[in-house]
Amino acid sequence: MPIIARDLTKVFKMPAHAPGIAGALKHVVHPQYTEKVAVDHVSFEIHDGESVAYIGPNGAGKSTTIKMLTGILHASGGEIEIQGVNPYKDRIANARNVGVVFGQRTQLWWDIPVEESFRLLKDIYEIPDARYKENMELFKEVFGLGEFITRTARRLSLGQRMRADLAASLLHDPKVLYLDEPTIGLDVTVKENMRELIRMMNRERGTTIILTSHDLQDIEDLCRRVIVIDQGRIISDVEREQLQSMFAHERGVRISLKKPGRDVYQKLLEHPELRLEMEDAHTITVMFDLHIHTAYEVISLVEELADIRDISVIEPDIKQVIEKIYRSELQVNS
Amino acid sequence: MLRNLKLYFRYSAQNIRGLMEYKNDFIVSTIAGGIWQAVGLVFLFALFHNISSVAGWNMYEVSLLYGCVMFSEGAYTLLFQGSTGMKHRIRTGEFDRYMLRPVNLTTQILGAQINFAGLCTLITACSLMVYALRRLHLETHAGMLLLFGINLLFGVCIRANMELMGQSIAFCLINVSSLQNILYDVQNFAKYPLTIYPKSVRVVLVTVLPHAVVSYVPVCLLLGRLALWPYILGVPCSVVFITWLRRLIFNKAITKYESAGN
Amino acid sequence: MIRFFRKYKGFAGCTISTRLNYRGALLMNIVNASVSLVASLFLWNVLFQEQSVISGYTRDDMIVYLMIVFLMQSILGNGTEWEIAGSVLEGSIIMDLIKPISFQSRCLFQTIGSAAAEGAVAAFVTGTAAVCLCDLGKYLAPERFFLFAVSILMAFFVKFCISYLAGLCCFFTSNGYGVIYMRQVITDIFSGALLPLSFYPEWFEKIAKVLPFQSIMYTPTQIFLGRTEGAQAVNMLLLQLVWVIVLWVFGYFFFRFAIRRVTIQGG
Repeated sequence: MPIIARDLTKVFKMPAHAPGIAGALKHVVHPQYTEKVAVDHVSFEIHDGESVAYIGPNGAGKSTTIKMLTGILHASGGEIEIQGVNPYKDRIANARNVGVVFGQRTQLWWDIPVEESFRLLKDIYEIPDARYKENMELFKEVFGLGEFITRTARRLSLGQRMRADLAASLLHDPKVLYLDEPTIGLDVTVKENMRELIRMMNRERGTTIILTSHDLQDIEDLCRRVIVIDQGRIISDVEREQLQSMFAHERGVRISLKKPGRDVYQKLLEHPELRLEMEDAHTITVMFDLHIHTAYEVISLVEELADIRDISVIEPDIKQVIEKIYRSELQVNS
Repeated sequence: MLRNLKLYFRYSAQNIRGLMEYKNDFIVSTIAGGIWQAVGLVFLFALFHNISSVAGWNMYEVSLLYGCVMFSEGAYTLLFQGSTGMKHRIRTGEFDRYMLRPVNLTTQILGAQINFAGLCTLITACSLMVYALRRLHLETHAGMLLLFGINLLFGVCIRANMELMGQSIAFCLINVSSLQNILYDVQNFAKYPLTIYPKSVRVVLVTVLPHAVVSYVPVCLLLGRLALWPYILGVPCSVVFITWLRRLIFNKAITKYESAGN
Repeated sequence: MIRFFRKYKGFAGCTISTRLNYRGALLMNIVNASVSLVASLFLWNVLFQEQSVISGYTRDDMIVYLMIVFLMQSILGNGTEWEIAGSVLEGSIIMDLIKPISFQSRCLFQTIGSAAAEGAVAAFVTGTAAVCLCDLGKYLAPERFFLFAVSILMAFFVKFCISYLAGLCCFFTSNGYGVIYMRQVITDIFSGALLPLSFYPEWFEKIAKVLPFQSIMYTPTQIFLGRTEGAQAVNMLLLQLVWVIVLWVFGYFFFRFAIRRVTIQGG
């Protein structure tokens, strides 16, 4: 069953009163609030087994949406249905279906060994023995959980803690996994390790993945669909590849020359539609618009001027695309 | 219900393991809990060193009132101390975690922490009551004593409900520590016969803040100053009422939860 | 002396303005403290209906006694200890060690700041309550009032020194609650905050009178109620002064001892 959000809205009310005791008293008698719309009529539908990145600049309403989906916050308006369950009317039923990882906050118990935390989770989620064992084996294998499972959460390094946290959220085979900045502050190997497990869950168990992250590598590696939110509204909701190809008119070739190429650079400046950069004396990067040139044309152009030793093509990546969206250079219509 | 009870004990078992990480703290807080009760006892004994009765109640009778209040406080501290940290968890957004678990929120809150300071209080309370009962030479029916014992448990229940009510207000992001302290201090009223207070105070103490049901009512029953049938009619009603009121307030408050950070 | 004052008065000023910024909390604290006071007023009211004098105290004496205790407790909450405990346990005390100031004096001036803010409110509340509840006029003689003011000042210093010592104990235990509660219990019992010392059995009263705690509550109340007068009152004031000096010096050395422990262990 899908995840459905219809016109989902969250308005935070902040008490607004004049400073001082008089203001505070007046507020008691006649309360006044300023309203901040964090999420504004957001609608989407996510099907089983999808992997979706939910991204946007800071304060766009990402976390607020996730918190409404998980039942932490009550929506001010609109409807949510997760696997046929309304997450805050039936919080407990929803909680059984979902797993959540908050990168900045652990859900393990600080003062008890990780192993004990897991055993407690087993009881809380009523996980059958066989399933529990099987999952623990998997986590030990993929994550090396065995190395630090006897330590208390307090004594884990950030990398270990996040791995333990991810494992904890997957222990009960959730149908939906929410990841809120899961790889923040981690080193490359741990990041890769975590992504591997998430991909595996998505592929083999059909776990629906919903991810918010500022790490664009996470998005490229994990998600097939990207929803972009800004100022509480969805501004784009498309396949990741589509997003990349739709907006990346720009390609690049990186050309190394056999001899120093300062003169080549000067000559190429006669083509104002090209964006040039000398990386070093032998290497020139040429960025061009796909609608005007082809890569072949650009290479031929350079070849006429000098001997080429090596060529590499620079593919547009999601990072450039999203940065453009954030800078409002691109208007996206889904 | 059974599942909640089981999980509560699982949580508490984990809490004990956690406490063992800091053995010194654990010992100091246990002792401090006991010493804290000394203030009340010193006051009681020193006061009756100079007077013979309070509104017709002698020292042993008043001791029973003290004992009941201390029992509910001790049991509450030992078993349900978790609710006291709620304010902090709400403000830091740590409460998110509770919302994500498929477990009743009240169970999670009450099971979040245990505090062995309560154990000393509990022991002091029981000793005081046993001492007072012996000195009183009551010729009561064993059934009456049993009922009194059951009422002690009701007292813990009432106490927990009142604490949760106070904590609920933290969801509206109001600084509750003063309010909590006020609710805590109201228990001092229940250490003396209800008759010393004006009518309005008495009404509050048997309805919205039923501290009197924790101490005064059962002690009156035991001392034969209250007939059995009003007790049997009244006390369960009071427990049900306060539980209902707490649920109403708590469920309303939870919708106001705003989490924290992003 | 003036330079010393100039150097530290900022700490007091900052604390006052912080407290005034949180006026709501300040008022709630007073309301909160009043709950227990109201309960005990009801109790004493009933007790004095049955007998007019208890252990040498009349109803009015007792009300005034309770009010003074209330006032003193508002002036001297346990804020100092929590603050010291906090900075020791969190390690932010390091920030104090690298400044060219004395930690003890800094704490004192902060405490003076909070006492001034809370004391003003509490004095107003207790004053009003006392006027309403009893015949306050008979206690107000000018020279007695002067002695009372001096004794309150001394009581403040004694209480500060004791709190300071208790706060420093956190260097040796990681449990702030335990130490502070214990300090509070001992002070409540032995200072006379709980009951006037004459209510206790004689042996207990004797112990209380050789301990420093009685300077905090017992001395000011006895002077205000006119139960000690003339030379005897002056003697009690001198005793307070002795305790201030002894405890301050002890605090000074205790801090040096404690801090050495930390720096050796590397905190």
